[in-house]
Amino acid sequence: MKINKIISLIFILLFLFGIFSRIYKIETVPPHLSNDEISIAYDAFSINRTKKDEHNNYLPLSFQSHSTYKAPGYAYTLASFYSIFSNNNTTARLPSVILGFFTVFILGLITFELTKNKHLAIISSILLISSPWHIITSRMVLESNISLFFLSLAILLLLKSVNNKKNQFIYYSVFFFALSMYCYHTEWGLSPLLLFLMLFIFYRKSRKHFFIPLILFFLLILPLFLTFITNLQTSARANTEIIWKSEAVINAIKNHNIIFSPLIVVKAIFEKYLEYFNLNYLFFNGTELLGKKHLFEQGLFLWPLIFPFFVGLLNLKKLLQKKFFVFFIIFVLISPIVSSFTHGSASLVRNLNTVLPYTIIISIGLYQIFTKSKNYKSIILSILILVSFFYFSSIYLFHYPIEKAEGFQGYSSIAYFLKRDSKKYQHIYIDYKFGKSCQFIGVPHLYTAYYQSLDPKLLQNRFNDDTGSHFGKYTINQIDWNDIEFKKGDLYVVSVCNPPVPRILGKIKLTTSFIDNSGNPAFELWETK
Amino acid sequence: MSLLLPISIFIFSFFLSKINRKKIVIPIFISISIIFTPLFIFNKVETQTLIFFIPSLLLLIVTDLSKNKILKKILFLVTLIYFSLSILYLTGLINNKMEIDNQRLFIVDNFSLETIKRFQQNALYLPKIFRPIIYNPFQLIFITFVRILNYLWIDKVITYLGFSLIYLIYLSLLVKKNIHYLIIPLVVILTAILHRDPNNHLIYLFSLPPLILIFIKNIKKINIFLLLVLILISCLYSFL
Repeated sequence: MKINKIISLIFILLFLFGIFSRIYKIETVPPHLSNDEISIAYDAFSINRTKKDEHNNYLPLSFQSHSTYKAPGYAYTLASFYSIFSNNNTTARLPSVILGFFTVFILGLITFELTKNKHLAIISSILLISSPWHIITSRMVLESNISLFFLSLAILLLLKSVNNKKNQFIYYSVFFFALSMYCYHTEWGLSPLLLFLMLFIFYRKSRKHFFIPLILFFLLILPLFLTFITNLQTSARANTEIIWKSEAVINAIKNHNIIFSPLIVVKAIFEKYLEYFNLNYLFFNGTELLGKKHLFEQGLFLWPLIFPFFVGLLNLKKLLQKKFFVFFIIFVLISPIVSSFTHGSASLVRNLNTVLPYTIIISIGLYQIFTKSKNYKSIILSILILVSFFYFSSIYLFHYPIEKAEGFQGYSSIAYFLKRDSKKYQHIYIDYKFGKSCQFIGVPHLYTAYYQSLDPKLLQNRFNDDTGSHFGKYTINQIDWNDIEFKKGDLYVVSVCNPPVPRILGKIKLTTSFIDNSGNPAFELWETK
Repeated sequence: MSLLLPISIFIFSFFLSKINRKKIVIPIFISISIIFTPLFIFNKVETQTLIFFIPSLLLLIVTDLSKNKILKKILFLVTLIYFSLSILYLTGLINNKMEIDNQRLFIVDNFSLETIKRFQQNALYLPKIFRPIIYNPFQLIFITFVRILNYLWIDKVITYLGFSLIYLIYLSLLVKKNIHYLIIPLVVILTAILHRDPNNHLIYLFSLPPLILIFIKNIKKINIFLLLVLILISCLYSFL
């Protein structure tokens, strides 16, 4: 009894620390919004003020971003927040944080529907709230995180309809399956597949409950489908991210006879699919916060959970309700399929939906260990989980912003400076390259406009020419110090990788400089004398 | 020279099957699937590797032959040591004089030690006395574990051993006997990953003899058609 209390106490602590880790330093960790995040945040702000996005499109269903298109769900969810809150990182991240919390409780309910075991449901919620994978994604402006919320809600409702024999839940479920597709591109493949399989497994004998939901689903996603079709020739998401566009696959195809091309693509997809099941990726280095080979890199789940993961796999049949076993296995197997079609390394964002089945497997394993193993084993495991969580949260909240400071130099601090001082200058030039060797390409126009809450019409009506992108008093370009006509009242914002050449130092003076989180110089602001 | 390796594997399999009184068909197909693993199709085997590899087969045969339990354990230990030393020598971690080359060891990597020091310095949220306790070289154990897992995971196994060998491993693991021989591949991996850039080819090559031993001892029935299909897929997979 006493031992059970200790384990309960450890798990209550884990739950509280999980909540803390999701909201602590939300403005500054990650240090600023990434290119993708700022793009969504700015579009949401622009929609809120003008009902048009950055590119002057009226209430679009596909948001044009830098060299890609984004799903609309996050931007529209966030847009309403700007009626109440100001433009900062916290506001942009709020929908993700809030819906992340809801997902935690929904997973508990899904686990309960699958197992009819309250303890297991609580364990799964605690595991998700303290999961590095879900904490990281819930602190970012990520479409996949709110899509996960809608997907999990859809699954829950369909399971409820099966368990309680309440058919109206099927239609609510269909609505949320469709909604998840409006939130993230992975769900374009996963949601229809999952819905079809669930209806097939549970309702194939009832024509009414099999076909009508499917028809309703296709009607609900029709607008999205039409947008995709009209966008197909430009650079829709599927065209830019698909695996056969990757350099490795293109090179492999070049080196072989053309008849092997389909096989090469299949091989690439298969390899990627296997990557998503890699134990190192899941428990040791999947977050890629610090780099895969970094000494303190973290896994998507806390590493001691590798043991319950195997125990869970072996006990799935025992603890899942018989009618849900096949569905669950299929869910595990199909979750990474869509992400496997995209190039780049295994992505915790694209594959986020897999967090649901994995967390359930691990909770089953933990439950088995706690109920069947000797008490000291349970206590040791609980303590290891708590300790590893401490490591993860301290690394993520304190070390990660310092270690990865170079990539997060950002333009937000510059935008805040300009918000106060821009009136002093006639024209402001901002270099879009940054990093020690100018290796990063930023989107300073978005940071500048977002953090200063500039009128969205400025960006919507911007014009681009050989000298850069121009809006209001701003020009965004790659600053070449040898090719500038200095005028009074000009301000130049450059990364330290692009310092002024000595011969022009007589014409300009250093206004201010910015350092990154590690204390290294990041940006310099120069004005004409 | 490269032919010597498959021939030695053939002889090894036949000899083992004879000792274990197995039908001749099984070692034939085991040998075929091993010879057609990606490991042999697309890699050249160096003479030095062969010189170390053939005695490893002999040692395993002797270990399997011995009836005395104590002698068997001693021989098993000797085999383990031989495998480790072979890997250490072939990867250049030790030389003829048995001196260790620190420069090639990943655990004395300055980068790791500097990282630990930097984390201690940046851990201002912790009281000073706790910083070296929380961030210490103990973390290297995790890295070691990660490196070991890398070689046990299915994607690397497919790349080097192919689908047919995974099928054989599955068949032999169904019979829960002679599993202790799996310690040898584990030791091989553990030894090889001490190197900063582990030699994948050597790891899987030296894992083969104990695997063949387990195959011969455990597998009673093979779906030959499936095995041949898997061999074909493996060849195609590594060709692409």
